[in-house]
Amino acid sequence: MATGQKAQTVSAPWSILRPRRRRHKDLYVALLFLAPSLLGLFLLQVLPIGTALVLGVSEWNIIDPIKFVGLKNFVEVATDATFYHTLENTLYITAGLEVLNTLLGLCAALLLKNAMRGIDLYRTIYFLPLITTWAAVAIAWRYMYSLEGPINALLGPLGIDPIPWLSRPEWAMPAVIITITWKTLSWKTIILLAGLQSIPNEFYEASSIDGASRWQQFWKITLPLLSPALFFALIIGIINTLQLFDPIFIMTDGGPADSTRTLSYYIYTRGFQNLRMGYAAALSWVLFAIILLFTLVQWVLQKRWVFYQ
Amino acid sequence: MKLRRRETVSLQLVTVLGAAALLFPFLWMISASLQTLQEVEAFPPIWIPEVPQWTNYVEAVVNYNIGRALLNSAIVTTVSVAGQLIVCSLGAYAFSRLRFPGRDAIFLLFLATMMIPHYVTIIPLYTMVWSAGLIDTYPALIFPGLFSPFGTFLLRQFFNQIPISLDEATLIDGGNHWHIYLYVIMPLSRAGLGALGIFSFLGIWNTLFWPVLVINSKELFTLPLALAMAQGQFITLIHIQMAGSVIACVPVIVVFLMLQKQFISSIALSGMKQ
Amino acid sequence: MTDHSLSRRHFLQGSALVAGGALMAACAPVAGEPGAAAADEGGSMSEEPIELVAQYWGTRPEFIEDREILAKRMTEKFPNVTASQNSVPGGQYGEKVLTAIAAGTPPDTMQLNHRWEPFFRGQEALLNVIPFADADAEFSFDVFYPRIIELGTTEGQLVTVPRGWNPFVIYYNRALFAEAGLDDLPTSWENDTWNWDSFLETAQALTADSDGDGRTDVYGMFFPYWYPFLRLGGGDVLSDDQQSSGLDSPEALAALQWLADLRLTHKVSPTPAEIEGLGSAQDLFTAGRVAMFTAGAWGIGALTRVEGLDWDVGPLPRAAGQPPVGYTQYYGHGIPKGTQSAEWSWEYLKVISDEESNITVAQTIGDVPAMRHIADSEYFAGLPKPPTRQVFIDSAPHMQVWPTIAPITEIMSRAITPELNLAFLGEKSVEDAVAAAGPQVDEILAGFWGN
Repeated sequence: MATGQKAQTVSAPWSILRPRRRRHKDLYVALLFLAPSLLGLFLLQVLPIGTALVLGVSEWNIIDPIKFVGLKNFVEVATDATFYHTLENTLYITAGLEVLNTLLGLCAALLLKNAMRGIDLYRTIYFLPLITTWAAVAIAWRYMYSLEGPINALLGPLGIDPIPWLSRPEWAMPAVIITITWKTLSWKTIILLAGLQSIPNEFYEASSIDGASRWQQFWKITLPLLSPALFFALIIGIINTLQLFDPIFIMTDGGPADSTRTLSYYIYTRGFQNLRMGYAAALSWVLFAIILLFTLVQWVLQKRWVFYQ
Repeated sequence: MKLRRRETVSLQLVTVLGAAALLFPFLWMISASLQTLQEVEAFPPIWIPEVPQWTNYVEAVVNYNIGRALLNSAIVTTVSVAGQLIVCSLGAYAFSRLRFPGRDAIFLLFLATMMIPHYVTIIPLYTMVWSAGLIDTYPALIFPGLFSPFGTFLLRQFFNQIPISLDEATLIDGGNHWHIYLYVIMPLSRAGLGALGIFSFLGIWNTLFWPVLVINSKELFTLPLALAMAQGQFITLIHIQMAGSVIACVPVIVVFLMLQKQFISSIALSGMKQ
Repeated sequence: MTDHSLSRRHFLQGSALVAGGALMAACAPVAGEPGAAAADEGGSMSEEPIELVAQYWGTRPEFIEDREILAKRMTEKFPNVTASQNSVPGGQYGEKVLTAIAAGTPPDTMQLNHRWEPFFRGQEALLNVIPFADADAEFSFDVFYPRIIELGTTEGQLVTVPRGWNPFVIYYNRALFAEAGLDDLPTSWENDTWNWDSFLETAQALTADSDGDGRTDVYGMFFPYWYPFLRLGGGDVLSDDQQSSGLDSPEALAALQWLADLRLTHKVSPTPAEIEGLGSAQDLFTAGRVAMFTAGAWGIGALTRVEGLDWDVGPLPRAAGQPPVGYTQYYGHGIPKGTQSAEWSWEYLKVISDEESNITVAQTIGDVPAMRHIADSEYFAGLPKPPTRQVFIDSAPHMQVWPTIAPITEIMSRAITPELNLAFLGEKSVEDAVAAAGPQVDEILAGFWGN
């Protein structure tokens, strides 16, 4: 025992790195590992966001001094018709985008997992939309959607009249969702592909010996073991899509007739164009609450379907 | 897992069809980069330029300083991504492998910071960078990329997939947490690190808004700023912009090809881990 | 309210310092407080070394080169000055300037136009330049178009020293005119035979389904901007006292209805759906699918590049019983409040707006210079045709501009444009759109005047 104690004194600087069973003993190690993150979190997130919190209860036109106004901004949000309209648009986009992206992303990941000939090339091609600049994407898709463009040409034989996709309020949103899905699909694909690659082959081999069909393997092995990656992709996807701004700005500028304006775009407009930073901050907090609600619900539900080894 | 021949062929067919649908705007970008402005503006679009305008690339490099911008973007992105991978993997390790009071609360705080639109936080952030005297410097561009709640979350998910039994094996051999992190978790998380590397590379490579605010000198323009130079209020020199975009894409493709090898290698490794 | 308020600069810097703490403060020099140079005010200008920054939008290489020349000339004129320029993409100009102002480091001069001048003047973020001009023997406003100075002055305050202006004209395709058996457009703004009726007739003669497939291939006209026509028709978006919406005046309603009819009844102008994916008005014009369109002088630069396009310009058509209207957008530069030294900003501003700089506007940028004698000279009027450049210059006596009230951008983008677009799409009647926009306009105005 004496030698053991001695060894511990000698290795004192490292000893905290040694895992302990007891819960709080990991605290110091955790602080070491977390130190850079916490510094970054504080400087890049907590502080600016804290300032934004103060702005939410203030009136600030960026140029004059900040004026505290209490909950006035939040009362205004409650009766702001544009807020509700843009929130509705945001939820529409989020639902469409997440469903399409998750299903297609899963299909693409399953396809690209196979070690077929030329897989490197295919993987790269599936990745290309993510790196093609939005300027090129917007121009190419404007052609796709045009009256005499390929999409309407495909619909023609089905007896569907040419659809003016981007200039009718009722069609602009589906068009936007399709284009953004095309552009961001590989984001989900990469996450899911990386997740698939982490599933040991032995599981499949063992179940093949037991005579499981491919379909059974998908439900019994692939999906459960992929669930942490799927969960992650959904959580992040929804957090990001609820704040969607840039693609809308580039493709439709919120039009036609505000049918594609998102809440995030509206927040930007109020802040930097109407110089109501306080109100923009208040809207941001409302959006924050909505995103947090979505995330917490998913977090609670994860116990039902996310499988950690 | 062996596939039957018929299955292989049909899978390949689906993959090819999918690839074709995904490819066309990229092909158009390459084609447009070799067209005259008049060809680029034509409708319906021209897919094959009459005479390939290689001079577009020369103009992009000479007049729009794409070369210098490429260097700036490479420096900023490399440092940021490397920093982010280190910072995030350390943090993710703590969340995945350590038990300490308030762990879940802190983790939720990380997540929560992703839920605030960054337009309302940009002025405080700018003021901070300005107070530090960093306006118009590389550090101003690098600093915000060094940490990412998203990256921490992503890596934590991957770390969670690695069986605890491997940690215990290291402990029996007399290792500590640092050893587990360095010799167990990191090598087995190449897929996750590769994915995060791609995402953060792409994000920082393409960001325009922040460099606009903190960079004034033409010499420090990053690629998105340089590409915006072809954009006028009423006339955009799309052909030059596309030539610049193609140049800007090359490093990203190279990085992708390098990092996607990590996905592949993780198959071999994961076979070992059970 | 002062006791409840807090200087945003100290607030933000305070939080920044808490954040950075010793870490960042230690490794970086603390940037100078902008107020530190306040000693200059009132006194004579010091010969101390000083760095000046001019803020612009647009990052095209030729623009940046022009601005670097201006900076160089400033430095040559005053050896103690190190002048430089900041150019950001047009879409990020507001954010860039606002963020710099918020941090307490506004640029020394900043570019302004019909959009940004009301915006920043409304926030009282710009200095009145008249006192500087009065005290300066070198400078006189007399060289500029008097209408620009007159329109820019409100309540004795002028914040922009103009550099160039963009009169709106009709660009037309001469080849399509010849095919339809039409003469060239007149060049005189006072000519009352070039009016809304003859404009419609011309557009109708030009509109054609050349391949006979039942779809229009050439449209007579396209209006990317409805505002000039509203003014031509004698209406405006605001009432004369600027207290309420002006769209419900008989003149405004008639003008908007006429525009909607061009599209929906006479079908001489395409609906957005009909030209889905075909690009901007300029693209359509270049492709020969639109015979006339309205734009400012910037169209010159764009169309001159297109080989084999036979085009020219004519005045905006007059509405019945209304005087000619030369709708224009001018731009120039001003001095933000809180600069390190207003006197030095003024000196820089003078270089940016001087004769040599006006020549660059005419020759390189292609807009009409703000100085009349440069516009009338070979630098602009004498440049090769097309277009008939005299048409641009001759609009000067009839010059009208975008409303100068501070919240005009918000009124346009939030209240009016979404509603009018519905009317121009045929989704709503013009009356309904105007009735729906009215209360929104009034609400924004009430908020503005109430403060």
